[in-house]
Amino acid sequence: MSAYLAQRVLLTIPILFGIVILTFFLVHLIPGDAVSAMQGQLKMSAQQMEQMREALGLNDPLHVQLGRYLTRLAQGDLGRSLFGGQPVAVLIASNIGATIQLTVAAMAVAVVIGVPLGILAAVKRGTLWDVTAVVLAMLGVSIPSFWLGLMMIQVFAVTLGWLPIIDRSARGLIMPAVALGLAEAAIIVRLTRATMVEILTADYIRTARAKGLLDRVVLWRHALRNGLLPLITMIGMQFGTLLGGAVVIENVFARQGLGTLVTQAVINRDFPVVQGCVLVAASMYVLVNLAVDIFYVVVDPRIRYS
Amino acid sequence: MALPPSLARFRPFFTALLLVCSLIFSACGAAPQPSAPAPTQTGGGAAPPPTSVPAPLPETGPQTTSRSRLVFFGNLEPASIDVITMSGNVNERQVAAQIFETLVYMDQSQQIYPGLAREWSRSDDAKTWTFKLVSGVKWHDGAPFTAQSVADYFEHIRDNPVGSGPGSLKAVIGSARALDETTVELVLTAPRPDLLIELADPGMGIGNAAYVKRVGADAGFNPIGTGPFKFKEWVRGSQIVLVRNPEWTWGSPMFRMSGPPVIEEVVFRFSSEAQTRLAALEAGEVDFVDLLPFQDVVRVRTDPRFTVTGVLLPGMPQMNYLNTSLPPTDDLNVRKAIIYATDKQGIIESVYFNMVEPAYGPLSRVFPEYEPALEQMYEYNPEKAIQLLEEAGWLPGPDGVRVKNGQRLEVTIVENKGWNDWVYVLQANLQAVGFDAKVITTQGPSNTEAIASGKHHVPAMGDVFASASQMTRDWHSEGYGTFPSGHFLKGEQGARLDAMLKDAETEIDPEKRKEKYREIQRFIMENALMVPIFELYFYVAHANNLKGFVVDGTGFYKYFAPAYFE
Repeated sequence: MSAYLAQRVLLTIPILFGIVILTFFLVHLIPGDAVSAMQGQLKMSAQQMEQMREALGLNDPLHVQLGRYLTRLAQGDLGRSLFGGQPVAVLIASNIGATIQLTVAAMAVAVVIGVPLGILAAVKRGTLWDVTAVVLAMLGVSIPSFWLGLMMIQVFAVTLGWLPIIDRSARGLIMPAVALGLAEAAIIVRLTRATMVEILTADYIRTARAKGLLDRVVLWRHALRNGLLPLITMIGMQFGTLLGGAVVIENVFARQGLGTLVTQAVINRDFPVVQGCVLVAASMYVLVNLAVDIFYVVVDPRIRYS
Repeated sequence: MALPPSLARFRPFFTALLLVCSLIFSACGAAPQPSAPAPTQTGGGAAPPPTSVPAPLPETGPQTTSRSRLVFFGNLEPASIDVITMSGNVNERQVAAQIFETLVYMDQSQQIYPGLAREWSRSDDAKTWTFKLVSGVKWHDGAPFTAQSVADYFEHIRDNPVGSGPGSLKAVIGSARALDETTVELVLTAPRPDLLIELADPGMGIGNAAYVKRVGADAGFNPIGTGPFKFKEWVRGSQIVLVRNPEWTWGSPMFRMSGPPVIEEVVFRFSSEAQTRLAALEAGEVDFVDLLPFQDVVRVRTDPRFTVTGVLLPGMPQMNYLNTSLPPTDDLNVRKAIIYATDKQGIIESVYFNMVEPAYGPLSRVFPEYEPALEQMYEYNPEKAIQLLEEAGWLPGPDGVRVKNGQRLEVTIVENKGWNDWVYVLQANLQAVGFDAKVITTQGPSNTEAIASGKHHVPAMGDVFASASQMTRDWHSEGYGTFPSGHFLKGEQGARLDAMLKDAETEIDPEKRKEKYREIQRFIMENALMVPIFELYFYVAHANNLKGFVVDGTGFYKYFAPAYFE
């Protein structure tokens, strides 16, 4: 197991290196740079803009800028923001907690809604419960999260006054988490239903029932445990989707987080911040996938890594 | 409606579903349509700025407030909030205006008031300026504020390429020196008759150069000024919190108060989502929102809880440049045809719900230098546009697009996303008279790049400034401002416009200056260098009981020192 883990951790290094290189060239492909973003208000002459580009190192050839970035990165330095000069690591550190909080809350919403509804749909296959769950799942994946967020704001904050919009308390997390998590819940409903329908018609379930086991024992101990593996894989994969969705939802609810930070950085062409955020998000994604692999062992004793 | 027995057990579920759907649909209901144009016009007929001290105003500042915390909800979070290290983001100045003080202030009627400078004088050539500072001022860290602080500030912004103040002013700072503890002399390398207006910009708040040199970029995240509010905390991505400066007793007469603010805390929140900002106001979570969407103005205005104010932003109205260095817009007739084909009233009605007013030239009508004769120069006349195009040899082609010598009449319009929504009506207007007009959507830096490339015919633009002399930054080939690579008028005519702008900018006599700027406006429109669209109004909404705040000369920035809640 430990050898497997070491191998997986080592494999993340080339993955992250590839992401760094790709991100570097992608952000430099976008027209404009930080100086042209500042130009809007500072009203500089062409000469002053060149001076500023020189001071910020933006005039250097791309390979020189990349080399400088990689050297700093190897020393654990993510660089400084071109806007205001704050260290990127500080910016990320002050935002990442809020994003993780939102992502985990959204995932909790997705699991709490998605798994029971999926099981219900499978157990009551062909009934109104099943149809309703499938229709809701279809709606869930079809509704854009930003629109859902804006509608929830109108209904639950403006009209009913039940929930805050920009409050930083736990209550302020409810609407963003639901808006972000509902689409994932819909995906989980569909997957859980499909998996459970297949399992519930399997021979070993029929055998368990023939032995006289109670329905709930068959369902929770025999069927669900086997249905968890694809579910855990899906949850791990959806973590990345939720991180992407957080970019939108954080903006809609004016929440602190990596999404707000990276959106602003892309608009401003603040390259070091964009690169730092993407690197951290990619690392999180890789780590979650690793955690999912480890969790397989816990859930299914038949799985052994060597 | 009765449910079949098999479904009756789902009644509670259906009821709940119906309730949720009805809530959602009620939220989606159409907002009332705006019916009447009622922008609150401010400014207008401004006199040249005085160089003497106005009489002190009565002190009628607030003594009490029913609430001690004010929450402002703006669109973009600042990158830095020290005036010396700032990057140019609009809200940096909005926050900085509370922490820092300028040498002078200007209100919406274009009246100049003393700020940190209580008196000032200038040489005849407007190159040497002397400021007498108010005494007893302290920085927020307790250090004394002196004439040397001001001299250090000017020299610091002159010498540093990153951040600090408008580029065109930085370029003319010669030297600054303290004559005594409270007198500072600023020597410019070129005449600057409008210096006071530039110094009244919140971005020209006097920063602590010694502090910035000591702590570097961190000054932008823990700023020290002399203003009515002190920096308390900045939770990145969430909020900036300022607290009242109890020692602040030297406020500008513009604020009409003798003591510190009564508001204890000013909180700045930010969201680029206009609907979120508005919803937060309606839900009572914030007190003040910027950049109200035009389509929501009428609805919010009818809500008795809020006050909606529209301010005409002085400067260069919303417009489209016409690139004279590219065919087919290098032809004067084609450029004039574009102006005649543009239905600006249609744009104002359909895109801006009559919340703005038509523009006729490159300068807002609030300036004394505004040329009213332009109002009769071009009217909406598509037939005239067609006639001009045909005179220029552009004849209808097989697909409706005009052709000349095998070339199609193609133009590209550049849009800065979120700011230039009229371009799609303009596109339709041009297609109606035989253009093949394409819209290129850009945002922020890519907009600057697209315009500076000079590769597009009809880029949209607009600018906000408080003095006609700032026309230089939008029209001079040196390109201060929106045109880093110079404007689109090349050759002899370009050189003439450059000379006219420089001549007017340094003209000290108000009457001669007025005539020179009017000549420039006529020159621009006679040569059809732009399509004027509309005068930009900036709508803000705030809680009805929030009173006393002061708006600056550009209409953009709010000073909360005198604010209070009724």
